[in-house]
Amino acid sequence: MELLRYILRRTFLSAFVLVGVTFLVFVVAQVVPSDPAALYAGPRPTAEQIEKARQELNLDAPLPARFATFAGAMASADFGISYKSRRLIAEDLRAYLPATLELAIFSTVLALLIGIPLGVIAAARQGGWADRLCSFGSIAAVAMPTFFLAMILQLIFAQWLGILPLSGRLSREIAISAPLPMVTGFNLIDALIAGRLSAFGDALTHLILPALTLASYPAGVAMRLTRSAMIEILERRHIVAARALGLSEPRILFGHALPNAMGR
Amino acid sequence: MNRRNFLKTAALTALATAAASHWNFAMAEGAGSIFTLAYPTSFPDLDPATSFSNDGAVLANVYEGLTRYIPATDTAEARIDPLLATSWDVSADGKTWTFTLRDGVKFHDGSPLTSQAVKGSIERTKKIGGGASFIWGPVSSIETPEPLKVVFVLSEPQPLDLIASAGFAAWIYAPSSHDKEASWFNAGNDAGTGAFKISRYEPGQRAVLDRVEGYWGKVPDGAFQTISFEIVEDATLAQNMIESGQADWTYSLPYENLEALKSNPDLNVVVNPSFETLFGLYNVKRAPLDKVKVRQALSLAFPYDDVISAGTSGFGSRAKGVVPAGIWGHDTNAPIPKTDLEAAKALLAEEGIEPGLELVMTYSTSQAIEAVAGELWKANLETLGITLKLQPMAWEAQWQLGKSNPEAAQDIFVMFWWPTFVTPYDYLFNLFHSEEKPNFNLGYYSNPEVDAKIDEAAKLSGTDRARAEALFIEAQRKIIEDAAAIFMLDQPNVHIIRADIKGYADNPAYGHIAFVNDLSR
Repeated sequence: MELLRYILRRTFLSAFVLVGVTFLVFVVAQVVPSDPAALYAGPRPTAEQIEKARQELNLDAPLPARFATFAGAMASADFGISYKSRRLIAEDLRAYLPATLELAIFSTVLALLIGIPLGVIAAARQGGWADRLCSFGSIAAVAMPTFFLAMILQLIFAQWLGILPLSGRLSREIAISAPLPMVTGFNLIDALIAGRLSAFGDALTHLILPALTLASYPAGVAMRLTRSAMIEILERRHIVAARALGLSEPRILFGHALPNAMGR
Repeated sequence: MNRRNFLKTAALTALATAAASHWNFAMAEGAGSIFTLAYPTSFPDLDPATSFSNDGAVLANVYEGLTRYIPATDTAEARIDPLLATSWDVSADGKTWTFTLRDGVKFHDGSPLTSQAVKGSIERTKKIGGGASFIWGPVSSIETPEPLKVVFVLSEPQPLDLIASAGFAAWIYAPSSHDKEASWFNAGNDAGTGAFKISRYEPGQRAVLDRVEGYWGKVPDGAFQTISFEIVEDATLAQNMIESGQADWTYSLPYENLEALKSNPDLNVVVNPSFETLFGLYNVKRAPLDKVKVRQALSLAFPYDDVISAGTSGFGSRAKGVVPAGIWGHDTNAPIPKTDLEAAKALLAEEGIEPGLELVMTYSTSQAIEAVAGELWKANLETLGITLKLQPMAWEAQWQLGKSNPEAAQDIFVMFWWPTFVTPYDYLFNLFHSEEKPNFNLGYYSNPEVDAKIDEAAKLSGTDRARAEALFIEAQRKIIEDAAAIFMLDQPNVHIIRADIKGYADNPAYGHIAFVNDLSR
C-alpha cells in the first residue's frame, strides 16, 4: 500500500517534470542565437535555400503554434528528423540505444561483480594488507577520471600487449565482411541468436575495456559501501554465534553476513 | 564445479578470448584488399543531388561527373580531364556546350549511360535545389540530340567544363533513381557509375563499399576490393589506427604530431596546398575601418609567419590574395604586406587614430587556427594601443550576426573559404562582389570597378580563360590595394597514408577525398 502510494505520487509528479522539460528544451532552442534554418540548409546555403528550409521546418509559424506541434509530436513519440544526420531520430535511437544499453548493463554487472566481493574480503580482513590494498584500489578507481583510465587501458592492453582491441564493437572482418543480423541491437545477444560463438567472443573482447573503464567508479563505490556495511554486520551477535557453531568462513561471509549487509 | 575447476576454466576462457582477438588482428593485417579510411566526420547526406559536405568522400568513389579537375603541379599546368564525357565543345558566345559521352559505361543497376540519364540527373539536382545545386543556375535547357550527345544551353557564358567537374552536385546517377527521395539514398542505396557501390551504411559508424564488376575505367594490379570508411571522431584513436595499420588513410590529426608521424617508416605524410584559405573581412561600412589606411595598418600588424608556425606547425603557407595556390587565377606576385609594426603605427597616426580603439573580431568556435590567429594578432595590436576583442561563436551565429546590420555587426569577420568548383570566380564573387543583402560578402565591400572586372572575367571563363585569369588577378590587386580583407594563410592539406599504398595523389579540388580505384597495395 505504502509502495503503491509512492509510485502513484512519483508518476503524478513526473508528468509535471516532463511538461517542464519539454518546455525548457523548446525555449532553449529558441533563444540560442543561431538560425536553425541555416543550420538545416547545409554548409553554405544560398538565401533561397535558407528560406526554403524555413518553410519546410515550419519555422515561420508563431511560437505557440510551434510549441503545440512540438509537444504534440513528442507526446506521440514522433521525434522528427535530425538536423545533423538527416535521418529519423527514432531510427538513429534504434541504432545507437542498444549499444549504449549493452555497455551500461555490462559495466554495471561488472562493477558489482568486482566491487562487492572485494568489499567482503576487505571487511573480513579489516586492517590487513588485503583491506588496505582494496581500499587503496577503490580510492584510485573513484579518483581516476574515466577518459584517462580509458587511454591507459588502451595503451596497456591494445598497444603493448595486443590482446584486446583498441576500439569498435566488433572486429573489422565481422563488421565488414560478415555482419551480424540486427535483431535486438545487442551484439552479444544477436551473436547468440545467429549461433555464432566466435562473433560472441569477439563482441565480448570488444566490451571488456570500455566496460572496465565505466565500471571503475561504481566498483570503487560498491566496494566501499559493501565494506562498511559488512564491518557493521560482522560485529553482530548472530555472526559470533555462527562462528561458535563452527560454520566455514566463506559460508559466514557470503551466506549470512552479505545478505544482511545488502538487505539493510 | 569446485574452486580449482572454476579457476582452470576461467583461465582457459581468458586465454581463448585473448588468442581469438590476436587471430582477429592477424586477419585484419592480412586483409590486403580492404582499404580503410579513418574518417573524422560522419556523412550526413548521401543523396548525390544535395550532398555538400564530407559525404563527398564516399560519393566520389561511387559516382562520377562528366569531367575531373587535375590541379597544377610544378611541371604541369592545371587541366580538365574527361571522365563520363570524352570530349566537349563550346560555342563562340560561350553559351552552348556540347558534351560527347563515353560509350559502354553502365550504372550499378545495369542501365547504360545516356544523354537522357545526364539530363535527368542534372534536372533532379536542380529541381531539389539543395546543397551546391546553384552551380547549374545558368543552365536554361538541356537537349539530348543523340544517345551519347548532350547539349547544355546557358543563359549567360559560364565555364561549364569546370562546373561539370565540381565535387558536389555534379554527379550523374541512374534514371531509375531520379524519382527517389533523399531517404532512399540515405538508407545506403546508390545509383552511380563509379568503381565501387555502397554495400552497407551504418550512419555515424561506417560505410562499406564493394568493387563493381565491369567498371569502365582502368583498374591497377592489386587494386582494392572493398573500401571501409570508419568514422573516428577522436584524433588520438585515428592516429593509433593509422600507426597500427588498422587504417590506411586519415587526416585532421594535430599539426604538432605530424613531425613524429613523418619519421615513422610505415607512414607517408602527404602535404599539399589545399584550396582552403583563411582570411578576415574588414567591415568597410563602419568607422574606423571605413578608412583604407586603418585597414592597411591592421594588415601590417598581423604576425603572418608566427601564425603559420604556431597554428599549422609551419605546414601552411602565406596567402597571396584570396585565390590560393594551385588554382588558376592565383597571383604569385601579389603585393601582400609584411608584418611591420612601425609602418602600421605611422599609418594609424596619419588617420589620427588614438590609443584605446576597440575592435571586435568574430570567428567560428570549431576552428582552432582562427583562435591562434586572433590571439597573436591581438598581442601585436596591443602594442599599437588597439584592443582586439575576440569573439568565438558557433558558425551559424557568427554568420547570422554578419548578415544582419553592417552598422551593428563585427569589425572583422574571420572565416575559411573553399570553392564549390575550381574557379577564382567562386572566391571573388562570393566574398567581394557588391551584394544588396549581405550573404557572404561580410565586409560589405563594394567597388564598381572590381565588380565589373569580376563580371567580365566570369563571362570569359568558358571561352578565353587566359584573359579571364588576367582580369581576376587585376580584381584581386585592387582588393589588396583597398585592404578589403586580411589574407592570413593558405591551409595545408595533410593526409596520412600507410607507406605500402601505391598510386596515391592528393587532389585539392576534391576536399578530403581518396579515389580508391587508383590505389593498390
